[in-house]
Amino acid sequence: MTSIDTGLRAAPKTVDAPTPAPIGTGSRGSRILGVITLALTGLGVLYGLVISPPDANQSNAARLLYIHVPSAIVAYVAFGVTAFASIMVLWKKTETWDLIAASSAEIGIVFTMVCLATGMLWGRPIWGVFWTWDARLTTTALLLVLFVGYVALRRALAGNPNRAKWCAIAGIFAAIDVPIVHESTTWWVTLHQGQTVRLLGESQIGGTMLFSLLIMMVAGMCGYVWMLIIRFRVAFLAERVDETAFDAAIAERRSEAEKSRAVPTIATSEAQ
Amino acid sequence: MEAVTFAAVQTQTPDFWEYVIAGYAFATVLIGGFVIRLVRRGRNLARQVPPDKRRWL
Amino acid sequence: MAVSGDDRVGLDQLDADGEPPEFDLTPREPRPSDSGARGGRNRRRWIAAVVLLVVVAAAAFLVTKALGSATDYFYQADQAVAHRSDLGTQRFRVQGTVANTPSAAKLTENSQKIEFQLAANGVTVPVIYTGSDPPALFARCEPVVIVGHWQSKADDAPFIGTQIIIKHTESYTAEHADRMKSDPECRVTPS
Repeated sequence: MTSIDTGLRAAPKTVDAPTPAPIGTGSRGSRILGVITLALTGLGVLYGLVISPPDANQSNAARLLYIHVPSAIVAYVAFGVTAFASIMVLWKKTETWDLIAASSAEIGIVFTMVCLATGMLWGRPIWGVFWTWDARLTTTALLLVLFVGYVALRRALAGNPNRAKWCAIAGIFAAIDVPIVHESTTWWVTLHQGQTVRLLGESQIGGTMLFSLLIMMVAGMCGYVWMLIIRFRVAFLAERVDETAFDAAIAERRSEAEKSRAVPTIATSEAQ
Repeated sequence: MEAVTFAAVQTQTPDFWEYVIAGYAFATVLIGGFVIRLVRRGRNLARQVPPDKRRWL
Repeated sequence: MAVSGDDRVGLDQLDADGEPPEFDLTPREPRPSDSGARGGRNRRRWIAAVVLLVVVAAAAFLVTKALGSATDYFYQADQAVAHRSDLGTQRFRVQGTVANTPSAAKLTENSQKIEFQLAANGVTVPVIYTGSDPPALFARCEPVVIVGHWQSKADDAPFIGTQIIIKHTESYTAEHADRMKSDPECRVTPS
Protein backbone atom coordinates (compact mmCIF):
# COMPACT_ATOMS: atom_id res chain seq x y z
CA MET A 1 0.00 0.00 0.00
CA THR A 2 3.03 2.24 -0.07
CA SER A 3 2.06 3.53 -3.49
CA ILE A 4 -0.99 5.18 -1.97
CA ASP A 5 1.27 7.26 0.18
CA THR A 6 3.39 8.92 -2.51
CA GLY A 7 3.59 12.67 -2.06
CA LEU A 8 0.20 13.31 -0.60
CA ARG A 9 0.94 15.20 2.57
CA ALA A 10 -1.16 18.33 2.63
CA ALA A 11 -0.60 19.23 6.25
CA PRO A 12 -0.43 23.02 6.66
CA LYS A 13 2.45 24.68 8.53
CA THR A 14 0.15 26.79 10.63
CA VAL A 15 -3.58 26.78 11.02
CA ASP A 16 -3.86 30.54 10.50
CA ALA A 17 -1.96 30.76 7.22
CA PRO A 18 -4.44 29.43 4.63
CA THR A 19 -2.79 26.75 2.51
CA PRO A 20 -3.95 26.62 -1.09
CA ALA A 21 -6.77 24.10 -1.09
CA PRO A 22 -6.21 21.09 -3.38
CA ILE A 23 -8.72 21.04 -6.21
CA GLY A 24 -9.50 17.38 -5.74
CA THR A 25 -8.08 14.02 -4.78
CA GLY A 26 -5.15 14.02 -7.20
CA SER A 27 -1.53 14.04 -6.19
CA ARG A 28 1.72 13.88 -8.12
CA GLY A 29 1.91 10.12 -7.64
CA SER A 30 -1.65 9.44 -8.69
CA ARG A 31 -1.37 11.73 -11.72
CA ILE A 32 1.73 9.93 -12.98
CA LEU A 33 0.00 6.58 -12.49
CA GLY A 34 -3.09 7.93 -14.27
CA VAL A 35 -1.07 8.98 -17.30
CA ILE A 36 0.68 5.57 -17.40
CA THR A 37 -2.69 3.82 -17.20
CA LEU A 38 -4.16 5.90 -20.02
CA ALA A 39 -1.11 5.34 -22.23
CA LEU A 40 -1.13 1.58 -21.61
CA THR A 41 -4.89 1.35 -22.19
CA GLY A 42 -4.53 3.30 -25.44
CA LEU A 43 -1.76 0.99 -26.59
CA GLY A 44 -3.75 -2.04 -25.45
CA VAL A 45 -6.85 -1.00 -27.37
CA LEU A 46 -4.72 -0.28 -30.46
CA TYR A 47 -3.25 -3.78 -30.21
CA GLY A 48 -6.56 -5.36 -29.29
CA LEU A 49 -8.65 -3.82 -32.06
CA VAL A 50 -6.14 -3.16 -34.85
CA ILE A 51 -2.73 -4.82 -34.61
CA SER A 52 -3.64 -8.26 -33.24
CA PRO A 53 -4.97 -10.69 -35.86
CA PRO A 54 -8.49 -12.12 -35.81
CA ASP A 55 -8.72 -15.64 -34.40
CA ALA A 56 -8.77 -18.56 -36.83
CA ASN A 57 -12.03 -19.84 -35.41
CA GLN A 58 -13.72 -16.91 -33.66
CA SER A 59 -12.73 -14.14 -36.05
CA ASN A 60 -12.87 -10.69 -34.33
CA ALA A 61 -14.87 -11.96 -31.35
CA ALA A 62 -11.51 -13.01 -29.89
CA ARG A 63 -10.76 -9.31 -29.38
CA LEU A 64 -13.20 -9.29 -26.46
CA LEU A 65 -10.71 -11.50 -24.64
CA TYR A 66 -8.41 -8.50 -24.16
CA ILE A 67 -11.01 -6.83 -21.94
CA HIS A 68 -12.73 -9.90 -20.52
CA VAL A 69 -9.70 -11.61 -18.99
CA PRO A 70 -7.96 -8.50 -17.55
CA SER A 71 -11.23 -7.31 -16.00
CA ALA A 72 -11.70 -10.73 -14.40
CA ILE A 73 -8.17 -10.60 -12.97
CA VAL A 74 -8.67 -7.06 -11.65
CA ALA A 75 -11.96 -8.13 -10.04
CA TYR A 76 -10.24 -11.08 -8.35
CA VAL A 77 -7.46 -8.82 -7.05
CA ALA A 78 -9.92 -6.13 -5.92
CA PHE A 79 -12.04 -8.60 -3.94
CA GLY A 80 -8.86 -10.21 -2.62
CA VAL A 81 -7.74 -6.80 -1.34
CA THR A 82 -11.18 -6.34 0.25
CA ALA A 83 -10.78 -9.67 2.04
CA PHE A 84 -7.26 -8.82 3.21
CA ALA A 85 -8.29 -5.34 4.37
CA SER A 86 -11.32 -6.86 6.14
CA ILE A 87 -9.04 -9.21 8.07
CA MET A 88 -6.92 -6.19 9.00
CA VAL A 89 -10.08 -4.39 10.17
CA LEU A 90 -10.85 -7.23 12.58
CA TRP A 91 -7.25 -7.34 13.74
CA LYS A 92 -6.14 -3.70 13.84
CA LYS A 93 -9.57 -2.06 14.04
CA THR A 94 -8.47 1.00 12.05
CA GLU A 95 -10.57 3.23 9.83
CA THR A 96 -7.95 3.08 7.05
CA TRP A 97 -8.38 -0.67 6.45
CA ASP A 98 -12.17 -0.33 6.59
CA LEU A 99 -12.11 2.34 3.90
CA ILE A 100 -9.64 0.35 1.75
CA ALA A 101 -11.94 -2.69 1.97
CA ALA A 102 -14.98 -0.66 0.92
CA SER A 103 -13.14 1.18 -1.86
CA SER A 104 -11.68 -1.98 -3.37
CA ALA A 105 -15.05 -3.79 -3.29
CA GLU A 106 -16.68 -1.02 -5.31
CA ILE A 107 -13.97 -1.17 -7.98
CA GLY A 108 -14.28 -4.96 -8.03
CA ILE A 109 -18.01 -4.63 -8.76
CA VAL A 110 -17.31 -2.36 -11.75
CA PHE A 111 -14.79 -4.80 -13.21
CA THR A 112 -17.01 -7.83 -12.55
CA MET A 113 -19.76 -6.06 -14.51
CA VAL A 114 -17.33 -5.40 -17.38
CA CYS A 115 -16.22 -9.03 -17.25
CA LEU A 116 -19.79 -10.34 -17.35
CA ALA A 117 -20.87 -7.94 -20.13
CA THR A 118 -17.91 -8.71 -22.40
CA GLY A 119 -18.35 -12.40 -21.66
CA MET A 120 -21.99 -12.27 -22.70
CA LEU A 121 -21.16 -10.31 -25.85
CA TRP A 122 -18.59 -12.98 -26.69
CA GLY A 123 -20.92 -15.84 -25.79
CA ARG A 124 -23.73 -14.77 -28.12
CA PRO A 125 -21.76 -15.09 -31.38
CA ILE A 126 -19.47 -17.95 -30.31
CA TRP A 127 -21.54 -20.20 -28.04
CA GLY A 128 -24.84 -19.11 -29.49
CA VAL A 129 -26.21 -17.88 -26.14
CA PHE A 130 -25.69 -14.75 -24.05
CA TRP A 131 -26.03 -16.66 -20.83
CA THR A 132 -26.16 -20.21 -19.55
CA TRP A 133 -26.21 -21.56 -16.01
CA ASP A 134 -22.88 -23.35 -15.93
CA ALA A 135 -20.70 -23.30 -12.82
CA ARG A 136 -18.35 -20.51 -13.97
CA LEU A 137 -21.14 -18.13 -14.98
CA THR A 138 -23.32 -18.93 -11.97
CA THR A 139 -20.52 -18.43 -9.43
CA THR A 140 -19.46 -15.18 -11.14
CA ALA A 141 -23.02 -13.84 -11.00
CA LEU A 142 -23.03 -14.86 -7.32
CA LEU A 143 -19.76 -12.96 -6.79
CA LEU A 144 -21.32 -9.79 -8.19
CA VAL A 145 -24.45 -10.19 -6.08
CA LEU A 146 -22.45 -10.88 -2.90
CA PHE A 147 -20.39 -7.70 -3.26
CA VAL A 148 -23.40 -5.58 -4.21
CA GLY A 149 -24.81 -6.93 -0.96
CA TYR A 150 -21.62 -5.94 0.84
CA VAL A 151 -21.94 -2.34 -0.38
CA ALA A 152 -25.67 -2.31 0.48
CA LEU A 153 -24.81 -3.56 3.97
CA ARG A 154 -22.35 -0.68 4.44
CA ARG A 155 -25.05 1.81 3.49
CA ALA A 156 -27.68 0.12 5.65
CA LEU A 157 -25.37 0.22 8.67
CA ALA A 158 -24.34 3.86 8.16
CA GLY A 159 -23.86 5.47 11.56
CA ASN A 160 -23.73 2.13 13.36
CA PRO A 161 -20.63 1.97 15.61
CA ASN A 162 -20.12 -1.72 14.73
CA ARG A 163 -20.37 -1.20 10.99
CA ALA A 164 -16.67 -1.82 10.29
CA LYS A 165 -16.75 -5.16 12.12
CA TRP A 166 -19.91 -6.49 10.50
CA CYS A 167 -18.84 -5.36 7.04
CA ALA A 168 -15.42 -6.95 7.51
CA ILE A 169 -17.07 -10.29 8.28
CA ALA A 170 -19.35 -9.88 5.23
CA GLY A 171 -16.36 -8.94 3.04
CA ILE A 172 -14.38 -12.00 4.05
CA PHE A 173 -17.43 -14.23 3.54
CA ALA A 174 -18.14 -12.80 0.07
CA ALA A 175 -14.51 -13.19 -1.03
CA ILE A 176 -14.65 -16.95 -0.42
CA ASP A 177 -16.38 -17.09 -3.81
CA VAL A 178 -13.28 -15.75 -5.61
CA PRO A 179 -11.27 -19.03 -5.51
CA ILE A 180 -14.50 -20.93 -6.27
CA VAL A 181 -15.03 -18.86 -9.43
CA HIS A 182 -11.42 -19.36 -10.44
CA GLU A 183 -11.45 -23.13 -9.94
CA SER A 184 -14.99 -23.68 -11.21
CA THR A 185 -13.84 -24.74 -14.69
CA THR A 186 -11.64 -27.48 -13.24
CA TRP A 187 -13.90 -28.63 -10.39
CA TRP A 188 -16.99 -29.05 -12.54
CA VAL A 189 -17.85 -29.55 -16.19
CA THR A 190 -18.63 -26.13 -17.62
CA LEU A 191 -19.47 -24.60 -20.97
CA HIS A 192 -16.90 -21.95 -20.17
CA GLN A 193 -13.43 -22.90 -21.37
CA GLY A 194 -10.51 -23.41 -19.02
CA GLN A 195 -7.60 -21.08 -18.52
CA THR A 196 -6.02 -19.68 -21.68
CA VAL A 197 -3.02 -18.04 -20.02
CA ARG A 198 -1.17 -20.18 -17.54
CA LEU A 199 1.62 -19.15 -15.24
CA LEU A 200 2.71 -22.79 -15.11
CA GLY A 201 2.66 -24.81 -18.30
CA GLU A 202 1.87 -23.92 -21.84
CA SER A 203 -0.49 -21.03 -22.58
CA GLN A 204 -3.13 -21.56 -25.25
CA ILE A 205 -2.34 -18.26 -26.91
CA GLY A 206 0.79 -16.75 -28.38
CA GLY A 207 2.48 -14.00 -30.34
CA THR A 208 0.70 -10.68 -30.84
CA MET A 209 -2.50 -11.96 -29.26
CA LEU A 210 -0.69 -12.84 -26.02
CA PHE A 211 1.14 -9.49 -26.09
CA SER A 212 -2.14 -7.58 -26.50
CA LEU A 213 -3.61 -9.48 -23.58
CA LEU A 214 -0.58 -8.80 -21.37
CA ILE A 215 -0.66 -5.05 -22.12
CA MET A 216 -4.32 -4.90 -21.13
CA MET A 217 -3.61 -6.87 -17.96
CA VAL A 218 -0.89 -4.40 -16.91
CA ALA A 219 -3.13 -1.46 -17.88
CA GLY A 220 -5.97 -2.98 -15.86
CA MET A 221 -3.80 -3.40 -12.78
CA CYS A 222 -2.44 0.17 -13.05
CA GLY A 223 -6.01 1.40 -13.45
CA TYR A 224 -7.07 -0.58 -10.40
CA VAL A 225 -4.32 0.89 -8.21
CA TRP A 226 -5.17 4.40 -9.45
CA MET A 227 -8.88 3.91 -8.76
CA LEU A 228 -8.15 2.46 -5.33
CA ILE A 229 -6.03 5.51 -4.41
CA ILE A 230 -8.68 7.97 -5.57
CA ARG A 231 -11.61 5.97 -4.19
CA PHE A 232 -9.85 5.69 -0.85
CA ARG A 233 -9.26 9.45 -0.70
CA VAL A 234 -12.89 10.12 -1.58
CA ALA A 235 -14.01 7.73 1.17
CA PHE A 236 -11.59 9.37 3.59
CA LEU A 237 -12.88 12.85 2.73
CA ALA A 238 -16.49 11.68 3.04
CA GLU A 239 -15.73 10.42 6.56
CA ARG A 240 -14.16 13.77 7.45
CA VAL A 241 -17.16 15.64 6.02
CA ASP A 242 -19.46 13.47 8.12
CA GLU A 243 -17.30 13.91 11.17
CA THR A 244 -16.92 17.67 10.79
CA ALA A 245 -20.50 18.29 9.68
CA PHE A 246 -21.33 19.59 13.14
CA ASP A 247 -18.20 21.75 13.46
CA ALA A 248 -18.78 23.11 9.97
CA ALA A 249 -22.39 23.96 10.78
CA ILE A 250 -21.27 25.84 13.89
CA ALA A 251 -18.66 27.74 11.91
CA GLU A 252 -21.24 28.61 9.29
CA ARG A 253 -23.66 29.99 11.86
CA ARG A 254 -20.84 31.93 13.42
CA SER A 255 -20.02 33.60 10.14
CA GLU A 256 -23.71 34.38 9.64
CA ALA A 257 -23.74 36.03 13.02
CA GLU A 258 -20.68 38.06 11.99
CA LYS A 259 -22.53 39.25 8.93
CA SER A 260 -25.64 40.11 10.88
CA ARG A 261 -23.45 42.20 13.14
CA ALA A 262 -22.34 44.19 10.12
CA VAL A 263 -25.94 44.58 8.99
CA PRO A 264 -27.93 44.31 12.23
CA THR A 265 -31.33 44.59 10.56
CA ILE A 266 -31.09 41.10 9.04
CA ALA A 267 -32.94 38.81 11.40
CA THR A 268 -32.43 35.05 11.44
CA SER A 269 -36.13 34.22 11.30
CA GLU A 270 -36.07 33.63 7.54
CA ALA A 271 -33.46 30.93 8.01
CA GLN A 272 -35.86 28.88 10.09
CA MET B 1 -31.91 -31.06 -49.65
CA GLU B 2 -29.01 -33.44 -49.03
CA ALA B 3 -26.62 -31.02 -50.65
CA VAL B 4 -27.00 -28.38 -47.99
CA THR B 5 -24.43 -29.41 -45.45
CA PHE B 6 -22.23 -27.86 -42.79
CA ALA B 7 -20.20 -26.20 -45.48
CA ALA B 8 -23.09 -23.87 -46.17
CA VAL B 9 -23.12 -22.82 -42.53
CA GLN B 10 -19.36 -22.41 -42.41
CA THR B 11 -18.83 -20.17 -45.43
CA GLN B 12 -20.93 -17.33 -44.08
CA THR B 13 -19.06 -16.94 -40.78
CA PRO B 14 -19.57 -13.26 -39.84
CA ASP B 15 -16.80 -11.05 -38.53
CA PHE B 16 -18.62 -10.26 -35.23
CA TRP B 17 -17.44 -6.63 -35.21
CA GLU B 18 -20.74 -5.40 -33.72
CA TYR B 19 -20.22 -7.50 -30.60
CA VAL B 20 -16.61 -6.36 -30.27
CA ILE B 21 -17.54 -2.68 -30.55
CA ALA B 22 -20.42 -3.13 -28.10
CA GLY B 23 -18.08 -4.79 -25.60
CA TYR B 24 -15.38 -2.11 -25.84
CA ALA B 25 -18.02 0.64 -25.68
CA PHE B 26 -19.66 -0.88 -22.60
CA ALA B 27 -16.31 -1.14 -20.80
CA THR B 28 -15.44 2.46 -21.71
CA VAL B 29 -18.78 3.87 -20.57
CA LEU B 30 -18.89 1.91 -17.31
CA ILE B 31 -15.28 2.41 -16.20
CA GLY B 32 -15.17 5.96 -17.60
CA GLY B 33 -18.41 6.89 -15.87
CA PHE B 34 -17.15 5.46 -12.59
CA VAL B 35 -13.89 7.40 -12.84
CA ILE B 36 -15.56 10.71 -13.80
CA ARG B 37 -18.04 10.41 -10.93
CA LEU B 38 -15.20 9.58 -8.57
CA VAL B 39 -13.10 12.59 -9.55
CA ARG B 40 -16.08 14.96 -9.36
CA ARG B 41 -17.09 13.64 -5.96
CA GLY B 42 -13.52 14.03 -4.76
CA ARG B 43 -13.42 17.66 -5.88
CA ASN B 44 -16.72 18.37 -4.20
CA LEU B 45 -15.65 16.76 -0.93
CA ALA B 46 -12.15 18.29 -0.91
CA ARG B 47 -13.77 21.73 -0.84
CA GLN B 48 -15.75 20.84 2.29
CA VAL B 49 -12.86 19.49 4.34
CA PRO B 50 -10.56 21.93 6.15
CA PRO B 51 -6.87 21.60 5.17
CA ASP B 52 -5.72 20.39 8.57
CA LYS B 53 -7.99 17.34 8.27
CA ARG B 54 -6.88 16.50 4.75
CA ARG B 55 -4.35 13.79 5.55
CA TRP B 56 -4.86 10.66 3.49
CA LEU B 57 -3.28 7.87 5.47
CA MET C 1 -27.28 35.08 29.56
CA ALA C 2 -30.60 34.18 28.04
CA VAL C 3 -31.34 35.30 24.53
CA SER C 4 -34.90 34.82 23.46
CA GLY C 5 -36.61 35.07 20.10
CA ASP C 6 -36.91 38.56 18.67
CA ASP C 7 -35.36 40.21 21.68
CA ARG C 8 -31.80 39.75 20.39
CA VAL C 9 -28.83 41.24 22.07
CA GLY C 10 -25.95 42.72 20.11
CA LEU C 11 -22.85 40.56 19.78
CA ASP C 12 -20.58 43.33 21.06
CA GLN C 13 -22.39 43.17 24.31
CA LEU C 14 -21.91 39.39 24.60
CA ASP C 15 -18.21 39.57 23.85
CA ALA C 16 -17.81 42.25 26.45
CA ASP C 17 -19.39 39.95 29.02
CA GLY C 18 -16.86 37.22 28.15
CA GLU C 19 -19.62 34.83 27.09
CA PRO C 20 -19.20 32.63 24.02
CA PRO C 21 -20.50 34.29 20.90
CA GLU C 22 -24.18 33.70 20.43
CA PHE C 23 -25.59 32.79 17.07
CA ASP C 24 -28.51 31.01 15.56
CA LEU C 25 -28.43 27.34 16.58
CA THR C 26 -31.87 26.28 15.40
CA PRO C 27 -31.79 23.08 13.33
CA ARG C 28 -32.29 23.47 9.60
CA GLU C 29 -33.16 21.16 6.75
CA PRO C 30 -29.95 19.88 5.19
CA ARG C 31 -29.31 21.01 1.65
CA PRO C 32 -29.40 18.25 -0.92
CA SER C 33 -25.78 18.99 -1.87
CA ASP C 34 -24.58 17.98 1.59
CA SER C 35 -23.36 14.49 0.84
CA GLY C 36 -23.32 12.34 3.94
CA ALA C 37 -25.45 14.80 5.85
CA ARG C 38 -27.69 13.46 8.57
CA GLY C 39 -30.98 14.21 6.81
CA GLY C 40 -30.94 12.01 3.67
CA ARG C 41 -29.20 9.26 5.54
CA ASN C 42 -32.27 7.63 7.05
CA ARG C 43 -34.01 7.28 3.72
CA ARG C 44 -30.86 5.98 2.07
CA ARG C 45 -30.44 3.48 4.86
CA TRP C 46 -33.91 2.14 4.18
CA ILE C 47 -33.24 1.84 0.46
CA ALA C 48 -29.99 0.06 1.25
CA ALA C 49 -31.82 -2.36 3.56
CA VAL C 50 -34.30 -3.20 0.81
CA VAL C 51 -31.46 -3.67 -1.68
CA LEU C 52 -29.76 -5.92 0.85
CA LEU C 53 -32.88 -8.05 1.14
CA VAL C 54 -33.17 -8.40 -2.64
CA VAL C 55 -29.48 -9.26 -2.82
CA VAL C 56 -29.79 -11.97 -0.17
CA ALA C 57 -32.68 -13.50 -2.12
CA ALA C 58 -30.68 -13.36 -5.35
CA ALA C 59 -27.67 -14.93 -3.63
CA ALA C 60 -29.84 -17.74 -2.27
CA PHE C 61 -31.23 -18.35 -5.77
CA LEU C 62 -27.74 -18.45 -7.28
CA VAL C 63 -26.43 -20.81 -4.62
CA THR C 64 -29.33 -23.20 -5.32
CA LYS C 65 -28.53 -22.88 -9.00
CA ALA C 66 -24.84 -23.56 -8.38
CA LEU C 67 -25.50 -26.58 -6.20
CA GLY C 68 -28.08 -27.86 -8.65
CA SER C 69 -27.71 -27.91 -12.39
CA ALA C 70 -24.58 -25.82 -12.71
CA THR C 71 -22.25 -28.39 -11.15
CA ASP C 72 -23.20 -31.08 -13.66
CA TYR C 73 -23.73 -28.88 -16.67
CA PHE C 74 -23.58 -31.66 -19.26
CA TYR C 75 -23.09 -35.37 -19.80
CA GLN C 76 -20.59 -36.44 -22.39
CA ALA C 77 -22.09 -38.51 -25.20
CA ASP C 78 -20.77 -41.79 -23.75
CA GLN C 79 -22.11 -40.94 -20.27
CA ALA C 80 -25.47 -40.06 -21.79
CA VAL C 81 -25.58 -43.49 -23.40
CA ALA C 82 -24.54 -45.19 -20.16
CA HIS C 83 -27.27 -43.38 -18.20
CA ARG C 84 -29.89 -43.82 -20.91
CA SER C 85 -32.31 -45.79 -18.72
CA ASP C 86 -32.07 -43.34 -15.80
CA LEU C 87 -32.41 -40.30 -18.01
CA GLY C 88 -35.51 -41.53 -19.83
CA THR C 89 -36.94 -38.71 -21.88
CA GLN C 90 -36.09 -35.89 -19.46
CA ARG C 91 -34.24 -32.82 -20.69
CA PHE C 92 -30.49 -32.60 -20.22
CA ARG C 93 -27.37 -31.39 -22.01
CA VAL C 94 -25.06 -33.69 -23.92
CA GLN C 95 -21.54 -32.78 -25.00
CA GLY C 96 -19.45 -34.20 -27.79
CA THR C 97 -17.74 -33.49 -31.07
CA VAL C 98 -19.74 -33.29 -34.27
CA ALA C 99 -18.51 -36.30 -36.21
CA ASN C 100 -16.70 -35.71 -39.47
CA THR C 101 -19.11 -37.62 -41.66
CA PRO C 102 -20.21 -36.56 -45.12
CA SER C 103 -23.82 -35.44 -45.51
CA ALA C 104 -24.34 -35.63 -41.79
CA ALA C 105 -26.59 -32.60 -41.96
CA LYS C 106 -29.84 -32.20 -43.72
CA LEU C 107 -31.89 -29.09 -43.89
CA THR C 108 -35.52 -29.47 -44.80
CA GLU C 109 -37.27 -26.62 -46.50
CA ASN C 110 -39.93 -25.98 -43.89
CA SER C 111 -37.95 -26.11 -40.66
CA GLN C 112 -34.36 -26.30 -39.55
CA LYS C 113 -33.71 -29.97 -39.17
CA ILE C 114 -30.14 -31.15 -38.92
CA GLU C 115 -29.10 -34.73 -38.41
CA PHE C 116 -25.60 -35.49 -37.29
CA GLN C 117 -23.51 -37.81 -35.16
CA LEU C 118 -22.17 -36.65 -31.81
CA ALA C 119 -19.04 -38.43 -30.58
CA ALA C 120 -17.27 -38.56 -27.22
CA ASN C 121 -14.75 -41.07 -25.89
CA GLY C 122 -15.39 -43.42 -28.80
CA VAL C 123 -19.18 -43.50 -28.39
CA THR C 124 -21.37 -42.01 -31.09
CA VAL C 125 -24.90 -40.69 -30.61
CA PRO C 126 -27.27 -39.87 -33.49
CA VAL C 127 -28.76 -36.41 -33.02
CA ILE C 128 -31.81 -34.93 -34.69
CA TYR C 129 -31.89 -31.19 -34.20
CA THR C 130 -34.95 -29.08 -34.86
CA GLY C 131 -34.99 -25.40 -34.05
CA SER C 132 -33.65 -22.05 -35.06
CA ASP C 133 -30.41 -21.51 -36.97
CA PRO C 134 -27.46 -23.09 -35.16
CA PRO C 135 -24.60 -20.79 -34.04
CA ALA C 136 -22.30 -19.57 -36.82
CA LEU C 137 -19.45 -21.75 -35.59
CA PHE C 138 -21.48 -24.97 -35.78
CA ALA C 139 -19.54 -27.30 -38.03
CA ARG C 140 -18.09 -30.76 -38.35
CA CYS C 141 -15.38 -31.56 -35.79
CA GLU C 142 -16.59 -28.74 -33.56
CA PRO C 143 -17.17 -29.59 -29.89
CA VAL C 144 -20.78 -28.77 -29.03
CA VAL C 145 -23.33 -29.03 -26.25
CA ILE C 146 -26.82 -30.10 -27.32
CA VAL C 147 -29.85 -29.37 -25.16
CA GLY C 148 -32.61 -31.93 -25.58
CA HIS C 149 -33.70 -35.44 -24.62
CA TRP C 150 -33.61 -39.09 -25.70
CA GLN C 151 -36.46 -39.87 -28.05
CA SER C 152 -37.19 -43.04 -26.07
CA LYS C 153 -35.48 -45.52 -23.76
CA ALA C 154 -34.68 -47.79 -26.71
CA ASP C 155 -30.98 -48.51 -27.27
CA ASP C 156 -31.02 -47.11 -30.81
CA ALA C 157 -33.17 -44.05 -30.05
CA PRO C 158 -31.71 -40.78 -31.30
CA PHE C 159 -31.17 -37.68 -29.18
CA ILE C 160 -33.70 -34.98 -29.97
CA GLY C 161 -31.92 -31.64 -29.81
CA THR C 162 -33.70 -28.32 -29.34
CA GLN C 163 -30.69 -26.05 -28.85
CA ILE C 164 -27.10 -26.13 -30.05
CA ILE C 165 -24.40 -24.41 -28.00
CA ILE C 166 -20.78 -24.35 -29.13
CA LYS C 167 -18.30 -25.62 -26.56
CA HIS C 168 -15.34 -23.46 -27.33
CA THR C 169 -11.83 -24.45 -26.34
CA GLU C 170 -9.43 -22.16 -24.51
CA SER C 171 -6.95 -21.99 -27.39
CA TYR C 172 -6.56 -18.85 -29.45
CA THR C 173 -4.64 -19.00 -32.69
CA ALA C 174 -4.05 -16.57 -35.48
CA GLU C 175 -3.21 -19.15 -38.16
CA HIS C 176 -5.92 -20.78 -40.15
CA ALA C 177 -4.72 -24.17 -39.05
CA ASP C 178 -7.22 -27.00 -39.19
CA ARG C 179 -6.79 -27.66 -35.51
CA MET C 180 -10.31 -29.04 -35.24
CA LYS C 181 -9.55 -31.66 -37.84
CA SER C 182 -6.84 -33.06 -35.60
CA ASP C 183 -9.43 -33.86 -32.94
CA PRO C 184 -9.36 -37.65 -32.52
CA GLU C 185 -13.16 -37.74 -32.22
CA CYS C 186 -13.36 -36.53 -35.78
CA ARG C 187 -12.05 -39.84 -37.05
CA VAL C 188 -14.92 -41.72 -35.46
CA THR C 189 -17.09 -43.40 -38.01
CA PRO C 190 -20.71 -43.63 -36.97
CA SER C 191 -22.10 -47.07 -36.39
